[in-house]
Amino acid sequence: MTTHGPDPHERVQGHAYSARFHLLDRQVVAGDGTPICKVDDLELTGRDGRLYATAVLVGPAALAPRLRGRLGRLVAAAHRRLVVGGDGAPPRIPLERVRGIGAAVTVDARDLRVHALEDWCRDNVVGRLPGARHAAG
Amino acid sequence: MRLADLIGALVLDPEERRVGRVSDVRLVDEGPAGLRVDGLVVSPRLRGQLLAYDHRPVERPWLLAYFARRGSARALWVPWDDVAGVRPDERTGEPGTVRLTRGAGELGPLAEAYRSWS
Repeated sequence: MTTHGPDPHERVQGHAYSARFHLLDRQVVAGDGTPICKVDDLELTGRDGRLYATAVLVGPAALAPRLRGRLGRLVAAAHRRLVVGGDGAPPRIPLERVRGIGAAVTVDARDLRVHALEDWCRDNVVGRLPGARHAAG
Repeated sequence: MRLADLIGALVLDPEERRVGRVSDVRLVDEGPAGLRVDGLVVSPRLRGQLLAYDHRPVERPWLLAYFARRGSARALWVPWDDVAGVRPDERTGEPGTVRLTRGAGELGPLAEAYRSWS
């Protein structure tokens, strides 16, 4: 019987990370390695006089502020026109769901919905097309 | 606030003199409490960026390490306690401003912080 040590990419208390190198633009994956999205920004929240990263932010609304100048404003404007429901705030993955930070950011993906526009299109457009329930061929 | 409000933000001392720009943010894992912002890596250059390994020393390969050392030689380490406030810009895509509690001359170089971290 083989035994396994702790996953080297599991979060470890006291470990330090570079936001730009370890987190921003990293692939977010589920525990089984399934790709989910990308880290487009981090939500920061003040607490007890300190600042904490409290969520991973995803999608165009999260990415737009990082794109400087007119490009950022164009992406934000396009997103506002495409947003379906909600207040246009970017989907967020609470940091409590982040299980590991390594080559990818591993999250607890149960009941996670970060692709609001794609989900809406799947349920309301693609899902209603004739034959949508059958696989091709 | 978002990380995008910090990365690239203009850094000013208490007399509103330009110190540089935020190049990176160091986060420390405090377990259930979350990832705490430990401080900022500030590049004295007002344009461009340091290499991505901003808050950690690059030792290999030697050529990359040479350029990393040159690029980060004047980078400053700003503990979060030395940040008086952050003012994001109202316009999307424009960097915000970070105001410090002390002048650039009182801040330690990033290289010194490397030694204390290791």
